[in-house]
Amino acid sequence: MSEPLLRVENLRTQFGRRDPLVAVDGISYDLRAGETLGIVGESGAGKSVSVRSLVGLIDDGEVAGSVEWRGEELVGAKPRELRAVRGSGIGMVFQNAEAAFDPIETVGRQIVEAVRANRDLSKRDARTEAIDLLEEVGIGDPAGRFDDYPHEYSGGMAQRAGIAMALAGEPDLLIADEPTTGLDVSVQAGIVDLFRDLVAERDMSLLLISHDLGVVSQLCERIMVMYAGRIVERGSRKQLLDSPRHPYTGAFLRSVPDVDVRKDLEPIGGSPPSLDDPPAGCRFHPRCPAAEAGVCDGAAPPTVSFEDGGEDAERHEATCHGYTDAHPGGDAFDREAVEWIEPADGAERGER
Amino acid sequence: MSDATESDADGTTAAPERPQSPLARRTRTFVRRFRRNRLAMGGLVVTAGFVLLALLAPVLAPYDPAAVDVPARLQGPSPAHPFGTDRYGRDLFSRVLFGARIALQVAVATPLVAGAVGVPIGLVAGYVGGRVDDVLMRLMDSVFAFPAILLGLTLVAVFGQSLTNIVVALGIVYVPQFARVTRGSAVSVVEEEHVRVARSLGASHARIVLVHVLPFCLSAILVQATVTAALAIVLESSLSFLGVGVPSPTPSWGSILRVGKGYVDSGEWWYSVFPGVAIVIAVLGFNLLGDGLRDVLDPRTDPNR
Repeated sequence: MSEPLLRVENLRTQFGRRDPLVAVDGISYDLRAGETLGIVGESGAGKSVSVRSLVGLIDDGEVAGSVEWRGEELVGAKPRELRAVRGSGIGMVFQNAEAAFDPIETVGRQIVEAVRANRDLSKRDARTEAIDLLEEVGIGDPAGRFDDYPHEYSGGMAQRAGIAMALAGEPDLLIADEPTTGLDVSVQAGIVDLFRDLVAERDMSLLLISHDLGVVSQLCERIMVMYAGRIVERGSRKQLLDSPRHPYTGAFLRSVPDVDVRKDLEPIGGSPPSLDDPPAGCRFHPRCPAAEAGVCDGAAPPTVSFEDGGEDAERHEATCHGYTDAHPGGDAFDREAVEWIEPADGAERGER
Repeated sequence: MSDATESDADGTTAAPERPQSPLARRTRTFVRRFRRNRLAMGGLVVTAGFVLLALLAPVLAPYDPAAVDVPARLQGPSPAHPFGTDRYGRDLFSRVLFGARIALQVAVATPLVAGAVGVPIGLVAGYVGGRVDDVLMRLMDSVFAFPAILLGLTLVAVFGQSLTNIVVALGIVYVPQFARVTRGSAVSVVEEEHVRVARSLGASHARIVLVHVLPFCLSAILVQATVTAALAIVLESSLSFLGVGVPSPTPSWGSILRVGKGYVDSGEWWYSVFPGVAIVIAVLGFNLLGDGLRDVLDPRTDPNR
């Protein structure tokens, strides 16, 4: 297999030196060219911080660990090197599309600026390119809307224009941070379709952040579930949706409404822990229905790998005590499916 | 804002006809709002009149402002000398007109000097933040802590008396105000999402400051410039009044006032009243213009824009 486009290892982002708040606590993943990866989780799980940390957009915090972009280390890289990656290597789309534009400049000129910042084009060529980009993202009459100010765009159009701006540097990876949040559902569907088309046509990778499992599962082949700064479960879309292995993933799925099935929603009791003083052991244990005193609140949980889904390349992993012998188990934990358990301290993999 | 219309989902909203360039549209909005603001219009008229009189002084003045005519000394207002004459028989109307030229130079040059130093300081402080911000702004505070007149006096004493030196001194006095105003705007825009987006697109810090931060600060800087123009006229007049302003025989309103004050008791009121009124009108014009501009440029102050 080819080298991954992006390799993240043990990424850790903290704010404040005294009593640090660890927003991202040691997450690792790979992303290959053309892949689509989603990160889901509740507000405050550290999803946004984790992707901003990748390209040095954390100003007041400290980023540790390793982020390799095409084999080049980005953590601790010089601003000049980071700038070269931002825009032309990695494009970003943010949640509040209208705020993504400078209110005192026209949308068109801002896209031209983004084009020229990353590519050596004349003003005229950059303008043509910007209009093409606006057309590509589905803005009707792109030449006519070129000279409009951001406030003259509706929410959905502004998000399309924001995507056009992120594409200006012809990135290989598009990071979208809650791109559909705050948009009408019908508009959301259009944006989801747009992302799908763009990924297919531009052969681009997509890293999508959302609290909306629906949006993520429509776009992403692989999904990671994040809770309180850590990844608690990862796998293919099918693996995660059909057989969630972590109690949090299961609870998360049951709390999402479905259009065609009238089911009772189960909100997850309690609220996510504060990250300046996270619970010991498994961070989900205070809210977990299957939490076992003396086990889940003790050591950090091990990572468990599962044999399911059938897709050979995907690993399906959950980080949970429920599959170990110390835990009494129960219906929530299908121990038959466990392939191996990797202790939390990083010791040898133990065949079960 | 997430008000999506039906046509929004496919993004095919037809744009209405917009033949004008964005800049032309913005300018038109600005002019319309400005004209509707009486304060701003009043300030503009007064200031324009002041500038015009200053520029046309050589044409309008009936006499050479330095022409001495001792027999005609200390004459009250008359058709020949509308503002009367001074102790050397010089025509006060001509001297006040030429004094406007000094005031105009001060009013234009002082904000330029102060802005040239203060705006970059404010931009750096507001954009970089943290310790840099603290150090720069405390430095500005310490300059600001001196009473303007005292600082101006000291600086002129150090530099020596000349119009250029006075403008430089006044410029230094008003640097902190420009730094503060610029920093205030810069800080608020740095937190904006679009600045982060610009960085995510690979824009350099210098580029962000020039393209996104500075334009945002411009309206506040423009208002500050008009206010500073008014303050500079007052301060220059004060320095001249104290005898450390523009050296005579150049007619400055402040120095005419200084000499004229000695003649108030003996009944030669015109000697001090006319230059005093000139100062008041010029300052009032700039202040009204500044207030008006602030109202016009800040969308929040106008309910029906």
